[in-house]
Amino acid sequence: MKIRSGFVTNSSSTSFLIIAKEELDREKFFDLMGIAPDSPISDLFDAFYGAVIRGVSFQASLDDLGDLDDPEISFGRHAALSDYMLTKIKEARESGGQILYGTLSSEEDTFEAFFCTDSFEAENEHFYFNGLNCVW
Amino acid sequence: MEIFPVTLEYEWEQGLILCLDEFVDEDELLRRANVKKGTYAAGILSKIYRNIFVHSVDIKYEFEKYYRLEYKTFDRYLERRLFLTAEESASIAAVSDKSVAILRYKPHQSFLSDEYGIDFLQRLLMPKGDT
Repeated sequence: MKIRSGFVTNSSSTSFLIIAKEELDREKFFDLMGIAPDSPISDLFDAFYGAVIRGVSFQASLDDLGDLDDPEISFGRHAALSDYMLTKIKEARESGGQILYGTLSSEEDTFEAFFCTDSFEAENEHFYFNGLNCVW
Repeated sequence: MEIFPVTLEYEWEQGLILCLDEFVDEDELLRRANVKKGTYAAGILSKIYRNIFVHSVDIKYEFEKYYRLEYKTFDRYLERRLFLTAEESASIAAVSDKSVAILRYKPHQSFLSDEYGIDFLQRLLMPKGDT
């Protein structure tokens, strides 16, 4: 049981999907986000990176996903993918890599709560991170 | 630069009074944060920049332009018009002469609350050369 004083609101959670052509580590995560590792505000993205790593609940090689034209692909739970995401996964499959699915929660700390409720996507030549709200 | 946490007028939420030593443009803010333009991190900082430098009210300018005649002193203006405490008003007034602007700022990002938010903004807005 949690006891909260002050302004009380509902909890939020959101899912994210990462298409990774290589192993994701802190340095590569920072590069994807667009921030230098020695930035004076690196602690914010260190907290985000930690939340993402903790939040991953499903990880698999793109080759192991099976039939991508199946209307529902299981990431440990059924999740319907949009045509946009299916296209991105199919494109990534040609060059290999893996997919990571996970969730963020607003209950952990203020950093994770911010990224949980923010809506964004980030992409470079090695990774695609979909943190958009309920659109895939 | 000084940052004072305050309760905003008529709003039961915490805000900040930012006493700036210099103006900073958005490109400079990104350079100080070592953030690349066009990225997600830059988008976050861009929103913070606009909230501070576009949407916040410069209460020092407002006092000088509209309220000096009525309130006479800046600390009296802060206390009677903005409902700051006597202590808050005196502290802010004490640094007003050396401040190029004094902004009444309401942070929109949840991670900018409390002491961490003040520290974060000081790291971003501290004049070049300061440690």
